[in-house]
Amino acid sequence: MKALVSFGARHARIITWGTLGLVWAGLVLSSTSTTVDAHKAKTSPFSYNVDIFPLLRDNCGRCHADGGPAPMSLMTYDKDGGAIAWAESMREMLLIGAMPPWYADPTGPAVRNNHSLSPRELDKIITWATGGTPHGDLNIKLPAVSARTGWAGGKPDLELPMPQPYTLGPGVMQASNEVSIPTNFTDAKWVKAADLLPGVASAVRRAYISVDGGPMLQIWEPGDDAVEPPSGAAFKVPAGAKLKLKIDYKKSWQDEQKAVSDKSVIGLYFTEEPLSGKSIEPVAIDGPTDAPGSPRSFSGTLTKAGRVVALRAMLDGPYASVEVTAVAASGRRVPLLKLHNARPEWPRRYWLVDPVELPANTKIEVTMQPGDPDVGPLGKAETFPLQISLDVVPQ
Amino acid sequence: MKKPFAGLAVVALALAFSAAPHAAGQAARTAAAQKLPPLSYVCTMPGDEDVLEDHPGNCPKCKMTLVPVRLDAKYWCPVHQALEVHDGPGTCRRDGRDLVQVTLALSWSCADAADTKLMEPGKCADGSARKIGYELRAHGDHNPRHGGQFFMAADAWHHVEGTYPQNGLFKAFFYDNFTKPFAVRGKGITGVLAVRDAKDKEIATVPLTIGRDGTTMDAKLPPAATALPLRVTLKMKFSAKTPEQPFDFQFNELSKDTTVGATVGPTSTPRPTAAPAAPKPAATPAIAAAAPPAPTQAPPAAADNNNAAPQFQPPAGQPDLYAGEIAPMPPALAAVLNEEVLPKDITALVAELMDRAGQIDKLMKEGNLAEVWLPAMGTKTVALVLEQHSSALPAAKRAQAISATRRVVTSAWEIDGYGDLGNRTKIVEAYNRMATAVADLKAAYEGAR
Repeated sequence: MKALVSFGARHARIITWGTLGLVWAGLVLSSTSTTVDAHKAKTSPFSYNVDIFPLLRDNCGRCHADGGPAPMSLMTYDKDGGAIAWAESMREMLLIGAMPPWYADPTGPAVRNNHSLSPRELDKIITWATGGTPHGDLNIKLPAVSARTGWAGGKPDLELPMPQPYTLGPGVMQASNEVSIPTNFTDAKWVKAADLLPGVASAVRRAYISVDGGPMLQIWEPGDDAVEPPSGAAFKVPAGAKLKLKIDYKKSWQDEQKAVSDKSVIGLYFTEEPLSGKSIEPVAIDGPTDAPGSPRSFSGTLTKAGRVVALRAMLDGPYASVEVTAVAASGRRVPLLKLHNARPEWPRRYWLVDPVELPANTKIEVTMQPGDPDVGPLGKAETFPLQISLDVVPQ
Repeated sequence: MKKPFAGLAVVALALAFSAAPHAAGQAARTAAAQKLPPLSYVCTMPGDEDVLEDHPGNCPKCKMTLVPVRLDAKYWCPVHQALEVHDGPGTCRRDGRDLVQVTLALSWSCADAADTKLMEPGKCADGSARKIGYELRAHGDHNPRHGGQFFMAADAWHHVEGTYPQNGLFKAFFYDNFTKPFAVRGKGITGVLAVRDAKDKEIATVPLTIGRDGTTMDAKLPPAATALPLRVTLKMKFSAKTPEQPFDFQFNELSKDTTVGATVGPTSTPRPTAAPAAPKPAATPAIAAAAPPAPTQAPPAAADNNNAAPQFQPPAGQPDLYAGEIAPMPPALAAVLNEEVLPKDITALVAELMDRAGQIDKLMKEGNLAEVWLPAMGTKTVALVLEQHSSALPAAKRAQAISATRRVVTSAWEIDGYGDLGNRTKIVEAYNRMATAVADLKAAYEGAR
């Protein structure tokens, strides 16, 4: 029997980052692994300049560009590392579905603002990363790509900056900070979207913007757009309300020994009061707290009738699948959300394309199959207490 | 057939022999444009053999100036390697064994400066044609030497061939990245062999002992665990610091070591150039012209060298694999990646999908982990072409198809990656994901035209 060697020569560039274990081709490198810096045969018919750059620019460029929130730019071939330095890592992240961080399963209910790769795009990038990362036609001059600055959805109707800057001192890599920001509204306002303009894009890893004692306006993740709720739904912010802004900070390694001072700004986009006069309200279903990473099955009840417009998943580990299903008294089952290869470090909100009307006392079932805890972009995943939240407009 | 690639640099032994051109073949070559494999650039520093760039420059590891080479997928005799180099599969004229595919570096030289490697064919100062030479590249040959199964370790340096030459005896041969046997004795290399039953449960664990010559390791199996098909996991530690690495073998029959003088048993001496079992012919015509017909007696090597400019002619209906300056792609891989030859309608494409997936299934059942990647790549190709028809599906089916196609793509690449390493557990997991995805894909296109 003859042996074959697979598509790319097995001379992968294996990179480990400090204490972060990176999995490659089934090989789990220990935290003390050294860099195996080698090259692969150039067997890929796809090259960076011709095929890969446009894909990376359009799908990854919001974060993986100079000045962006991600610590590595993929917008150059090899400048300061560039895409080739991260090719093996890209391959790994794409294979396990960790990147792009968009976990809506296409076989589930349609969600808005989808930014997944098509199978063909996925295959091209992996082929390139596996097949020697060829540069391509050097006569092609690629445009410089910088990270997006400014508001994704245009200038907001109201900007509410943090009252004080928050500083992460030298050596502090990770921290969370919560501040209360008065709105000084004299009347109730209706908010269709909330956004964040990070002060230091490379350090603001995530932000929760909520009405103190009220709904979660936004779970902000880098690269997100401010998305309008479907069918004219909106959040009510009462007169005199305060907003809570909780920011999870995480410095990039380049800034580890520097002090980083952030003063992010909340942006609010107003709209008219909906005809129903009803605000989007959260309905949270807590999951079990024991044995994280095991198969999950839990449920909650929607006590009031309402229209589900979005769902959020805070996860206690990676899950191969997450399914949220509404079960009516008649036994009829309606899927609300389906995620695959869901990572806990991206607890975003998924807005439904088609909101679902549910009667009172509808049971909400959650079933989850665990993913492999040993693979992932950041070694041990950042996790949260397990909770599935529905955003509902009550009838 | 073997997948070439290369990553590497020049092996010390330069083998200057030609691919004996047949008169007709030579005419074809002359007529063909002087299309050569692209220039690649390698580092000649020992230890940096894995550096391979597509442009001139300095070695990223040692900063030495890179030297140009032209890499090509060729076939040569498993035993008489140096004497025959062919463009495609066939049999060795010396001993009738099937040719094996290797990645070779091509160069040309003149008699008055034999050590000067030129990157183009042409004439020498005395008017004679430059003589072509070939050099084996590291990782250019992953063919087993003793009728066993050949895998690469995760460090891309150690290679192991597992054999089951006689009832109750497992023998592992060890090679470096140039497929040269190396002595395991004194290197701190340890291993055990686990025998598994049909359900993958370990039923016995046997220590490995170093063979008398120091380049093999043997395991004597307990009498109750010797039956064919034999499923074993070789668990190797190549150093105290590296994690244990499993290599999974399945022997459906005893390994036949056709090495001249080979004996079976713990005292056998490995020969570096034993014949592997017959390779499967390429699924499509190989790169370049077919191998010349075999004469009854091999001509002297020098007589073959006239003006044997290697060139590339894409087989009819095949894309030009050198377009865009890429390294040579193995013909079998090129064949399974070729979308042009696939049917145009959904029904036939689904049939092709199931056929290719069936090839994976067959290889898995045979325990042939080293070859599974090829039909996996082929299945992926069909899935991606099917996706172009997904707009014909109703929305729910289309979503199902996209999901399944994505899973076919990722599982194919997982199989590709794990296949080299011989890790059955990982391959089986990836295979199961692919089997599910293929079934889902078939269901999505059920009834569509």
